[in-house]
Amino acid sequence: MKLRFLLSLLFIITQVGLISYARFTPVRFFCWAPYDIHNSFEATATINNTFYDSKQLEERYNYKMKGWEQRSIYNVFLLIERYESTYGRHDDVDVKVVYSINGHPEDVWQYQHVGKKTE
Amino acid sequence: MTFLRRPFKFEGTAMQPNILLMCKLLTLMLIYQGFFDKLIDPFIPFIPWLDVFNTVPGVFKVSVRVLFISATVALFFNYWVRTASFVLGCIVILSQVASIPNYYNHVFVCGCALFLAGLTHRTQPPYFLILQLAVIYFGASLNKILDPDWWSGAFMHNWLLNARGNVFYTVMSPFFPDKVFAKFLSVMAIGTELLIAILLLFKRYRTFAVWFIIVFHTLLFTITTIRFGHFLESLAIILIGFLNWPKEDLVVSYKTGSLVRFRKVIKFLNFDGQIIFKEGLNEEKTMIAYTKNDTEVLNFNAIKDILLYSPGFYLFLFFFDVIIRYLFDFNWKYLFTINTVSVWILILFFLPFSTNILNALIFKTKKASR
Repeated sequence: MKLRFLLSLLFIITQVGLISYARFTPVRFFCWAPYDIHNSFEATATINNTFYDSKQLEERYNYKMKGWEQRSIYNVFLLIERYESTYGRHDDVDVKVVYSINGHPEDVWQYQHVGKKTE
Repeated sequence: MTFLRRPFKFEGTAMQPNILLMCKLLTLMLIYQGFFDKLIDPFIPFIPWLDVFNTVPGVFKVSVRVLFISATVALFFNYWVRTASFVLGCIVILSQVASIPNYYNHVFVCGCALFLAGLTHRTQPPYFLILQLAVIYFGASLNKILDPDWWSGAFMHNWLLNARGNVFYTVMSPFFPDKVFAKFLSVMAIGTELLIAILLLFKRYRTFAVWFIIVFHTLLFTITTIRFGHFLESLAIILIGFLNWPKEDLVVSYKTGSLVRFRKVIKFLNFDGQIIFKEGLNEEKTMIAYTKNDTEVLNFNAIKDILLYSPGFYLFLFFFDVIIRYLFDFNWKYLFTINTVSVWILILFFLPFSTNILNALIFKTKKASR
């Protein structure tokens, strides 16, 4: 009984903590902020000297790379960064995301890194 | 035979019947929405060490899938229901943590509800489930309050006009100066979500909060035509857990020869046989009645409660929705119209003020025609 109560309480407190944490980062995960931002965006990339359009990037990241993103655009940036710094760490990457937050003027986000080549 | 009926039994387990019903429906909905196929090996996980499982591909996927099937079978056949629900909740949450591209709020909310339902006690109200909803609305409203684009109407204008080409907004907004209509909708959304979060915390106002949730989300659906993934139906199912389910059998008296079809339907929908009909009501203006906390509940009030306390009623609504989606998959306009009309009819029927109108319309009309 006591353990169940403590687990439930801890679960709720964790979520409150994550909601508070979201105040200090533009990324919005686990903080109950769905459909609070609407971004139009398109990602393209050059990977190992080969051009990737948004459709090809969608297969790489397993997530849409063009259209409307109904959560923070920084969620998409995090996804790309995480992929490229782990699974894609051996590739030479230059990813560009053209985006507009809530209809504001377009901006560009870029992620570049030179792959750690294995012998 | 008795074993095969167990998925339709909700009484006599370690969970409150409505909480068990909620868990079974949430699981059923997750399966229907293809959640099982989304149980995959970690892919860009939130917690990097989960990538350890990728050293042997398939181990994580097979393990969670086997666990998911086992917990689902246990839950549906009423074995260790709380543990099963807890495990299902953990699997859903783990699936979200294990993959950034697979993270969705409408899936996470199901995981939270299953997780907390597994920790409830049969004799106590699901306090933490209530707190969970309050946290959701608090988080949602806080994020909006602190975003200048919500106050300027930029978000609402961009979402409804540019992204959705929403008919309602396109028609209404030209009647107002610069984004005033967008600002109005934004403030209404922020205010409602904050109000729901606060009202949920007070027992006295919880019923209001539940009605606010139902009407707010149905309005959103009516205006935007979207279900926000399966957030809308998840929320509706979670609200079943908020019902004050009767602890004993419900003995309902009815006037001889009245409501024959209704009684037949209820006998079919009430799988646990918790609603018992007794003939012999002699009051002139009363067709059907039962006693709740020493108060007589009459006619349409009784009919509403009987429906609300029949697990089969929710299963019927669930499968009605599934069948309608399947039948009208080819034309979203038909589907949307049927969905909207049926939900608003249900809301109008169950709204407290409709009881007097319905009683006057149905019961008194019948009396006059005799």
